[in-house]
Amino acid sequence: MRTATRWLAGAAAPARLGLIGGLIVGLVGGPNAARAADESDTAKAFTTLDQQVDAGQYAAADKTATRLLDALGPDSTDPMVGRVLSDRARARLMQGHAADAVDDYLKAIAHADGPQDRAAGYLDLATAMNRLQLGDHACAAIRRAYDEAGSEFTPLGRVALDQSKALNCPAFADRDFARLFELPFRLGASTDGTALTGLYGDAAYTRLPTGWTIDPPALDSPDGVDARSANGDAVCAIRRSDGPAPIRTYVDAVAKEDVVRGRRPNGVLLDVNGREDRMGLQRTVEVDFAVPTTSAPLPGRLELASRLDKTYAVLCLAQKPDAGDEARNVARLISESMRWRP
Amino acid sequence: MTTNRIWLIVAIVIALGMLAPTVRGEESELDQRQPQGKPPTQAATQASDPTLAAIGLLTGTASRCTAFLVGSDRVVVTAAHCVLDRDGKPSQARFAFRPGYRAGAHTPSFDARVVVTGGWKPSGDPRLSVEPVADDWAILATDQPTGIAPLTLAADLKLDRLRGRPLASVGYSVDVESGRFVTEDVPCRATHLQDFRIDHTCRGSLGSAGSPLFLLGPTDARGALVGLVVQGAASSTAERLVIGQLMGLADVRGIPAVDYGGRAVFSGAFVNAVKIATAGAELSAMK
Repeated sequence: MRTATRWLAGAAAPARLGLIGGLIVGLVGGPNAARAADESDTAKAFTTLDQQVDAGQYAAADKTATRLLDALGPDSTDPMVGRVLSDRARARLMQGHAADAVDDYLKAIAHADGPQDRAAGYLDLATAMNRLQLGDHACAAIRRAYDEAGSEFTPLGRVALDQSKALNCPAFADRDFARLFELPFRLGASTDGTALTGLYGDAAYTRLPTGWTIDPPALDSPDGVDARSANGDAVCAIRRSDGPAPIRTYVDAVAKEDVVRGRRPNGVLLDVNGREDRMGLQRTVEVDFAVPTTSAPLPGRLELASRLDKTYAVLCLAQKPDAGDEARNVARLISESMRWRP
Repeated sequence: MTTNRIWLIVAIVIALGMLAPTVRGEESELDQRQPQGKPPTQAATQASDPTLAAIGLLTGTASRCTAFLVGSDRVVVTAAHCVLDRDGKPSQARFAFRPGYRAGAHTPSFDARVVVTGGWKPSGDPRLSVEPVADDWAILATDQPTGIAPLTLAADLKLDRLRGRPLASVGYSVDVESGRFVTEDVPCRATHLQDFRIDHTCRGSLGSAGSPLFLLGPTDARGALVGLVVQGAASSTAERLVIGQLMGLADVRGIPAVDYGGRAVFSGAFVNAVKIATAGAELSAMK
């Protein structure tokens, strides 16, 4: 330290002034210049990202967005973060990385600046879910968007309401938002299942839990598929029949029926309890029941929906009295994950 | 005393009739005219549909069922389990029959006594309380003429003819307006036919036992009287939805056989008894 002081003290005056000036520039002007350069790079990268997404270069867009987000920092409050996340979500969705895409959509919503921005984020998410033919998820996001927009008289509220009507979303669709978008995101409520192609000649797709198998001959059947759990605890039948069923009428009628434990007067089944649910995008009537047998009752669940002049029924029945939960969960999984060829 | 002798003769003839089951249900031509016979009384005209005037509420101390006049304005048909106790004997001497009953409207009440029944006895399982179905019929006679045009049983009709045909049941099921008015389930259909037993889909809860079962014509008009409902089918929409699907899965391993639960006695099981009771009633009227 002393040596440096001596050297400084021994320098010529103009040189000293120049050095001091240089230090001032270095200390004050340097960071600003560097920041300006960074901002320029960021803006450039963002422009590149937009162009890549528009051009359908999704893999490149994914990388660009990731670089941008790294540059901005993990805890950045920069308003650009939301836009970059949204772009990356779209890029990932188009690459088939649905779980990562949903993760980004949700982060983008979290970074949104105000309710209208959040509404836009939810609508983006709904569009993505529609693309995946996940009706419940789309409806949940749309209803969130509507709530964030505040009113149907706002532009985004109007859009959300129109989409809600188009998909016949129930008003309570966002009730299960947290469950549906629980991270890591799981397609069809479960990635445990086996993706089925070729159901009814590729007309429909659904999932089954791991360990469940479809009777091989059933895959060739035009209208009937039977599936069983590996341990034989439950059986499911997935049926398609001609003509629509009056699902709305059924739902209304079932909604008026009291929940019954045991058997109704003159009833045949036990514990009959019905409600509205979803089969893919379609409105579904869901009924829990138990079949009385000479030994213990066998619990089960029926899901019934109509689409394009066809009626689809999923009926799962426990083969052992204590397998009721499994039968009912599988019925709902099959129903929720049901998708139809566009 | 004279009346008692007449009914004794009627009972003997009925018993003889029961020994000839091969003739039941294959009598004469299918008759789709309902009702016919005597002109309706004041009670009958209260109902806009003349058929409904012959259908009424049958109540006892511990029972509430549907019943209907058939063949005579004094002969009443209902389900045996509505009038018999667990030993298979009449649960009381007289029941109240109110043809054309509607809550809030004046409808006359007639005392009615059990004349003859099928060989029905209750089973141990409450759900199977109406088994055996084919024997769950009872014929009563009112103490005095009702003056109401009775229904006519279908004749010369084989059970197989009901297969695939639309049906209707009319009765006082308590799941609709608490059974205060007569209600009709139309159309419904037979799901299984065997001997004199009809498994059907006609909705009905408590109170529907004893309802007449009609064939429907092309325009859904009630036609021939073909049976007697002893148990209505499940009336819950949710339950019927499930049962309909379960029935379609009968071939799937592990799916138990389930039906709608509706049961009826084919008219052939009691047509001869009705004829004899009618003859007895006419004889009694002449006396």
